[in-house]
Amino acid sequence: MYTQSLDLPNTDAGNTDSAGLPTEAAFLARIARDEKIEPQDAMPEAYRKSLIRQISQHAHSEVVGMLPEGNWITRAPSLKRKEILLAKVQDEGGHGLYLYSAAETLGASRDDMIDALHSGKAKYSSIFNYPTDSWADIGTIGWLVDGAAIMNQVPLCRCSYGPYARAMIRVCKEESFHQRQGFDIVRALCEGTPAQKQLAQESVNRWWWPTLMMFGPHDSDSEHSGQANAWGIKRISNDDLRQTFVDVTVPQAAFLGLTLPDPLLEWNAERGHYDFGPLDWDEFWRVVRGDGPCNAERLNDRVEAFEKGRWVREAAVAHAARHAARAVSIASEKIAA
Amino acid sequence: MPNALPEKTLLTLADTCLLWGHRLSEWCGHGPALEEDIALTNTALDVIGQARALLQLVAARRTPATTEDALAYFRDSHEFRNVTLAELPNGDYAQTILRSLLLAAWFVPVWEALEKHADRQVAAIAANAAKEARMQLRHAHDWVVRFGDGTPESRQRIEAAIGALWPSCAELLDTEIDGTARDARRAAWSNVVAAAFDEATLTFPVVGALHEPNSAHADRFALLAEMQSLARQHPDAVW
Repeated sequence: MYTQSLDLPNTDAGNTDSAGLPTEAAFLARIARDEKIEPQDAMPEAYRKSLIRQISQHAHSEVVGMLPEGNWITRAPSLKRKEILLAKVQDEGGHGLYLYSAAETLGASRDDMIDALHSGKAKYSSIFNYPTDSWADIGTIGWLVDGAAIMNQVPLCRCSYGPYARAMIRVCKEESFHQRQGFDIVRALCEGTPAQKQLAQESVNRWWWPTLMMFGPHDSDSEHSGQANAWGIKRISNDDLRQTFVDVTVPQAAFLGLTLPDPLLEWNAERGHYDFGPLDWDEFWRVVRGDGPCNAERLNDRVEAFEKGRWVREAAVAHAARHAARAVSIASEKIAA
Repeated sequence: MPNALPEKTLLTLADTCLLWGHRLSEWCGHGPALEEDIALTNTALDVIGQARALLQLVAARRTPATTEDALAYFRDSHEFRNVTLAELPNGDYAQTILRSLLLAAWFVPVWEALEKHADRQVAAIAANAAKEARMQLRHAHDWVVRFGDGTPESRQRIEAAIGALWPSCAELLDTEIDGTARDARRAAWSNVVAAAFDEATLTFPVVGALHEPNSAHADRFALLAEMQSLARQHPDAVW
């Protein structure tokens, strides 16, 4: 998911290229030829830093994203849905793992990236700062949130950095499955009892606008998009992706018999697109800056899991060190004998 | 069906898997490292899958037939037949892992015996479950060794976990599973757990005599109150 980070202010001041102009020019020429940049290749320092920032924040989004959906695993209303949801949330953890690994190929350490998340320095997608109040939210997240994520992520399969692009191919396949399972949950609700249908409608009412915000600020307000385009990291603009998402989703909502909470939503034959109402950018920035409904809860949960697990990781390291020392000692004895 | 494994045995196995899987699933998103989060969720998926296969079998064999979800979500606590160990709260990671070792070491000989049972539908489920249980056993064994032979804190935690879970082992080992030999299973369990403890430099305590099991099952009651809450709010719903 979640290239929102690309559009947020960069708090890292040392974003200069130490590689010098000739390298930069050669590098841009490689990008222009659509060549993949690999970990061992020379690259401008600013490109490396920008990628670490984006990939690590993408990884954080996957891991924090396990929390809102994980909230319903123990209460899933059928065993089949419980298994699917468990597997889905597990997939998100797997995405986090590939993405942290992709960032490690750029010289970042996982511990440092996690520290940045826990200290509040690194961001994650704001969509996960909204609560999952009902089971229907599990369907809506799959259908709308993962649907929006796919729109953002499919172009990343062609991004210039090889390890990121290859990780995204697998991530996108799994996200596509997640979206279909979400749609299937909402479909079952819409075909179910009146109470189930009401759960679905109420959920879509809450998630529609935050989902549209996932594509980030308007192109005119998007701080990093220009540079990211030049480097072949970002391929399609925020507003274009948002429009495509609206165009694709409106007929799906109609099929389900759900309304979308926007009185200005209307087909515009001249543009060949749906017009839609203005987004609440005050809310967007409020949540990005930490004042959303669940920002504190999400970060607390992550920090708590990490701190409670510290002794487990330390035990593994201590045991491995002792084991290695014993192996050396046995080998020495054999040589001496 | 002349060779059918009795329903009470199928439910003991299914309910033990289901409640254990529920407890494991509580860790999803909260594990001590991403790799462990994923590994523990695999175990949860394995055992919930085993529970589903067994409940589907029970449901199909009832007259009139019922469904796996009716059995999971609409039986009351006193109708569940799980071993107590499966329903206990997770505690810390040492206790969660130790429970996995104790249950997997119990399940491996159960499934390996049932794999050869004349009830072919049960045998097919057992054949798959045996492979999964051996993998779970290996994962839990490795962590128990790391904890016992890790840091002073990890050793103190795994020893505390042994103290907390050991009283439930008598009931586990005393549980009758038709189609299996209890004494042989008990010996196999003791060998596997004692070997893990030995490698972990931990003391293997004597399993005490069976006390009257906790008939109140307060932990199960709370677990089911959560697990069944949504399904029971919408008793006529299809999900």
